[in-house]
Amino acid sequence: MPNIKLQSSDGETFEVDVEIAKCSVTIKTMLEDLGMDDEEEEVVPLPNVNSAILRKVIQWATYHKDDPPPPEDDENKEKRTDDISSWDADFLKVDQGTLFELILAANYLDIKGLLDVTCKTVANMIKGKAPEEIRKTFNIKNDFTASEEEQVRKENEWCEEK
Amino acid sequence: MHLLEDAVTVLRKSTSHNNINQKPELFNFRIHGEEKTEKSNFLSELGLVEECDDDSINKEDSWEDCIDQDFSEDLPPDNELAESRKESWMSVMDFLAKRFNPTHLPCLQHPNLIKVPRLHLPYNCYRQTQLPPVERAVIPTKDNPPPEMSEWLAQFSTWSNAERIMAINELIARCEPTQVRHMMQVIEPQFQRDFISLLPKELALNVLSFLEPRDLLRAAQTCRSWRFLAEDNLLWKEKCKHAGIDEIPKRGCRQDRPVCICLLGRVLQLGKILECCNLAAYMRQHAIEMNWRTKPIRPPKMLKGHDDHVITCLQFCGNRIVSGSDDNTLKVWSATTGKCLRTLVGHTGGVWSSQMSGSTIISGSTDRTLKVWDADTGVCIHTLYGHTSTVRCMHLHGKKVVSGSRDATLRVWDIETGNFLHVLVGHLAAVRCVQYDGRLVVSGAYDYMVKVWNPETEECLHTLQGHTNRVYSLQFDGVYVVSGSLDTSIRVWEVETGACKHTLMGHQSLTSGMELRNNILVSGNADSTVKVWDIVTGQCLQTLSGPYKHQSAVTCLQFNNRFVITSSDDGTVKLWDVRTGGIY
Repeated sequence: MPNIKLQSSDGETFEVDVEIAKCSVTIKTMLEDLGMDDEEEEVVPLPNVNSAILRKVIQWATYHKDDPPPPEDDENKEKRTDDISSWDADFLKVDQGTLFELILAANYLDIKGLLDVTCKTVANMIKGKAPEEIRKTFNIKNDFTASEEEQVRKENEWCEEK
Repeated sequence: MHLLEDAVTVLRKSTSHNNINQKPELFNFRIHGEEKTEKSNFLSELGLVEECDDDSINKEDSWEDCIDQDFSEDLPPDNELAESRKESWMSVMDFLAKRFNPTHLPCLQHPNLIKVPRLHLPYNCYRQTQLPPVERAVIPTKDNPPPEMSEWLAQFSTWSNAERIMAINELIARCEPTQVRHMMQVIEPQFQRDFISLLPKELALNVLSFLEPRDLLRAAQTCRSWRFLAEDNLLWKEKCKHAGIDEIPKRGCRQDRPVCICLLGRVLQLGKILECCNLAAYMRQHAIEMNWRTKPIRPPKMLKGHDDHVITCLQFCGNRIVSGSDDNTLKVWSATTGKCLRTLVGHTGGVWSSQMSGSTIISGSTDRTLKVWDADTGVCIHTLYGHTSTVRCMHLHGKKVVSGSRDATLRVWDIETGNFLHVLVGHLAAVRCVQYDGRLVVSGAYDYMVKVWNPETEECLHTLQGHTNRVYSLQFDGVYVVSGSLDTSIRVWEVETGACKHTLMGHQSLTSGMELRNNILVSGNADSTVKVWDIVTGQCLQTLSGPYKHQSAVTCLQFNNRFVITSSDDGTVKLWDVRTGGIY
């Protein structure tokens, strides 16, 4: 299997199987557009991903290398968040900063599967929580004035009635 | 070594004292005379004493004062003492800074410092240094920090990563549990991320798109930036789609919208309503659903008219209801007041079919004509001549209406001009039902056949054969044709190929009313039951029957994602939950 070298923003180089690297549409397109030859010792620079995150991304892509391509988003289908595999759930037991950077990296590298599962993980952190609990979870400053907050609460209480 | 042990013992003792005296930042420890001298030497060897200013040199032994002092005694701090102590802490701090800086390590090899274990000595001092002594005149604040702190921090910032890590480890090891907890509280938010505010908008919206409406609205209550995104119009468009709300009120077209919104206690400015069109639509739907589920039923309004004659057809649009009767008239009613607004007189035979769009009404009669009416004025705009027998069914699409007649033909008309456009000839018996999607016409007839027509060319594209009795009802969504027959079966056909995809068996009598939406079909039958089908798989998903079922033939029905509403010859109207099959 031919390998490819990926260089993180902080200069670390990772040697990865080309097929695994290609689960990133960004890298795949880059290789195709530049016509990079597998035999050449070229390094793909990834200036938006640091080594810690790139290592995680490669770990994810390696585990998922044999996955079928993710289905296209169907606008009409209700989105689920309860279908995260246990491996992914374990993989994403990281601090919020890492999760945040993983989302950005998945978006930049265009890895739909990883982007979906990371966004779902954040959505699950929001689900079922009261506003104050959400603020606590993400360290959000409540910038509503007291009257605004009361108004927003009133406006949205219709969804709370059973 | 005993020195260290001693210090530890004292430390333990002092800790327990501290607990009692509520002065956790203080430690008392004593150093034996001999070591005291050594300590002084030790500091001077390091050049630390010289670094202190005159004041502190004058009170050189204050350092000893300080450590001999039993701080667990609740002594009021003496300013002078505090000052001197401050200086000595500074020295120790400086010493420690150097001690932890590997570049300074060679000084430890000074011949007077061969007793390396002595380096344990400052342990307690150090322990004290990172806790501002209470004796200080001021409580440290950002504007007024402990004077040594900046040097301490400056030193820290010159270190390499590995050095910093080591220093942090050492620092933590010297912290009280309460201080570690404090660190946690300071550090934890650093690992939290306000994903929604910090992510690029499209990514934040992607996260939010995974939330259900209720969670979205809670998220909107956390802060302004969350609210802005959680009320995104496109996001709610998706939510509306999932909820099966496809009828989004268009800008300014529905006068009742602001009223609905006020009802929900949501006071939005008009601009905001327009922005949150989809959210408003969702709220409206939710309110309606909740009304149906929980609100007590209001006493019905009786629309009395047509005297002893049969009501043959019914249409409603907005607040208007139109009834057709075999008394040759149609009546326009107000749904809000129950009053008859107009009686449309003109037909010379019973009215058996009607369509309505806005304020335009079309009627078909045994007098072989169709009439186009203005519901507001009650004026007959056009009379459409051509059929040679009763006009039994019709379907309006845009400005074109297709009518089916007992004369076995279908005719296409322009309701604006009143012009006859096309005639579709081919059925062998009365046409009983018709559907028109603007492109194709589908008709069901008493000749047991269903036909698909191209109205423009007047060509019959397919004859769908299979029913063994009269066809009474039709649904057509552009892809599938569903036909209900007196032979008790319902057939699903592909309009392009004309192939029969499924024959839905299960009913025991005539299927009189059907509705098709998103491949889900609901059928009402004269056997008094209602069935819900998936027309792609041909499966019957639900049979609405049970102890509360209708007592007689089901005549008419409507459904959405949540409810099925049915009427019956037994004189009742029933509301069903489409998911559970239960009744309200």
